[in-house]
Amino acid sequence: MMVRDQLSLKRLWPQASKRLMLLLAFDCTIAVLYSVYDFKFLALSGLPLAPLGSAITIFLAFRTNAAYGRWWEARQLWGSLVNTSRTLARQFLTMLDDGLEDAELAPLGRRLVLYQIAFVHALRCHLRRQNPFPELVGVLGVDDAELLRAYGNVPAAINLKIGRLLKQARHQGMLDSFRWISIDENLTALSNIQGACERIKNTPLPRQFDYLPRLLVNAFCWLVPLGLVGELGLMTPVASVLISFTFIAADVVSREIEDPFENTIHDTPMTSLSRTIEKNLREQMNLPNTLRDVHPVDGFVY
Amino acid sequence: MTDNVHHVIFAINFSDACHAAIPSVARIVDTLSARLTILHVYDPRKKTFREVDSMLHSFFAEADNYPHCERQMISGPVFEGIAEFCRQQKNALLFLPASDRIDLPRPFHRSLRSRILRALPASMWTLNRTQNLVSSPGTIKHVAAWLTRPEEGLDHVRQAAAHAEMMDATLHLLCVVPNVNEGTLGATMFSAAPLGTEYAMTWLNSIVVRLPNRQNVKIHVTQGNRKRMLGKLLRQSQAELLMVSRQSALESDSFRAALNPTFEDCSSALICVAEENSSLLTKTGLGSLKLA
Repeated sequence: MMVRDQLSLKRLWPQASKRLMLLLAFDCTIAVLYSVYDFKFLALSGLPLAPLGSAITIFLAFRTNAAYGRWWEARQLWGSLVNTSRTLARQFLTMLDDGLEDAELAPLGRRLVLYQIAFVHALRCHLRRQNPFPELVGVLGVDDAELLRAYGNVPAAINLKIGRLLKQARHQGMLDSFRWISIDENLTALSNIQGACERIKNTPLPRQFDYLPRLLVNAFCWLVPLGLVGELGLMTPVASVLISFTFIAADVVSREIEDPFENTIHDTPMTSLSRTIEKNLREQMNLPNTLRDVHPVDGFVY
Repeated sequence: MTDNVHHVIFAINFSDACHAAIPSVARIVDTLSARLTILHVYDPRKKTFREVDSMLHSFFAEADNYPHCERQMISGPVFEGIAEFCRQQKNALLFLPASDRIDLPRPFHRSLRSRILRALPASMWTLNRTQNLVSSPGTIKHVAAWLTRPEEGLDHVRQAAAHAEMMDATLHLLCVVPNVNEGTLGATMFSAAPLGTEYAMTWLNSIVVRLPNRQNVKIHVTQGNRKRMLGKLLRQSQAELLMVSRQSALESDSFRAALNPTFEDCSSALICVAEENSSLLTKTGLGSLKLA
């Protein structure tokens, strides 16, 4: 996620360069043919560029809104994951009757909180199609992490494992039905968050919303020099490329944010959020805080 | 596998390409149970130690949870910094992704990857810009080795075979015979490379019979433009990892200081294998493979 004020052109350029260079060549050709070789028929002064531009703007705005909607929903889901994780950790550490005076020292409570931390890391890796096991080994230890290798959906398996541990605790009399229900509601919330993230990840923006604006922007950019050349002559490429750049940039920017879990610089900052969750939960367990905060790197938080 | 020291050095410059390569690093670290070093070489005239330290610890922050991960900062020129650091490591695999796309002409550009590959006797693992970086997080099931001519040696085939054996993956031997043209006869003066597909098949078969796990080896031979056909063969074989010899990776025309353009559009992770290095090779693999 970008946190600095300016979007560097060097990041925009590679995605717009091919279209812009092609358009610049076309604009120059039109300008030279019209002004030097007197091809007056190239000037289409009656071309309704303004209404066409307005229509494309509506399409682009719609597309950008839809893309932003996906991005913002992803961020909200991870916000609720932060809250649910803290709540669950509190419940694990305070609701289990294990006979120990200091609830934070209870081994089962701690184990459950570690599984909660592992869930967050596994969900991030699951969404980014990244291997979670080196991290899980660090959090859970080799034996518990190895057991999870049998599963394709690791976060769901961790959720199930937490449920099983709680069931065991209930059988041992550490948890009554009311507290069980209360904790189970939050485990269901975790499943819902995961499902919603997977929905965003696996369902692309309808292709019509993607294809049509791009097609119309391209058509408009090719028509702009024909509409301007009668007035501007040899200066047509300057104005035409600037107008085209505006539309292409709007197209590119909305395209960049439509997939918030694609492991790009425009992602939801899942690494930073999972670090926040891990630090908070380790604090709750009174574990030494050795992890550092995640700061923006070159204006981007990952 | 456990007998060998495994160490992956991930050289980063905080670029988008480095960020996009993180899943691949996670995968190889898990596959090899390797120690990971995240290395950054910085210019002290442009950034302070404190700034770089903060950036280095915020990039690939999840690696802090890895069992064996360290971060290294070196000040000074990038090439010298990476080269010096890698020289001090034994059995290390350097991971260096391609630089970010800038889509502008770079007439005096000298590829860092090719400079390092020339200077160091170590193997280098790299990803290209065109690679689909969204890889499956599981283990690698298809490993390929690229063969062009006998002179380049078979170290990379050995390593590919050992890696495939270790991962229980299929090994694919890929060879593209160039089209016959006026220059072909000249090339035969310097190389014993096969000039026909039948010869290439015979050559590859003679290599396969000496491999320990020959049942799990497939041969792919075709004729045509190497760059174009490599893509086709990689799609056919579904190889996720391609091992090439260092000599082959550095083969380029006189005006380029970059990696071999054949691999520019390569859709797999690329490991340029140094002749004597065996960072990916198990001792068992070394013992059981005795190639010409």
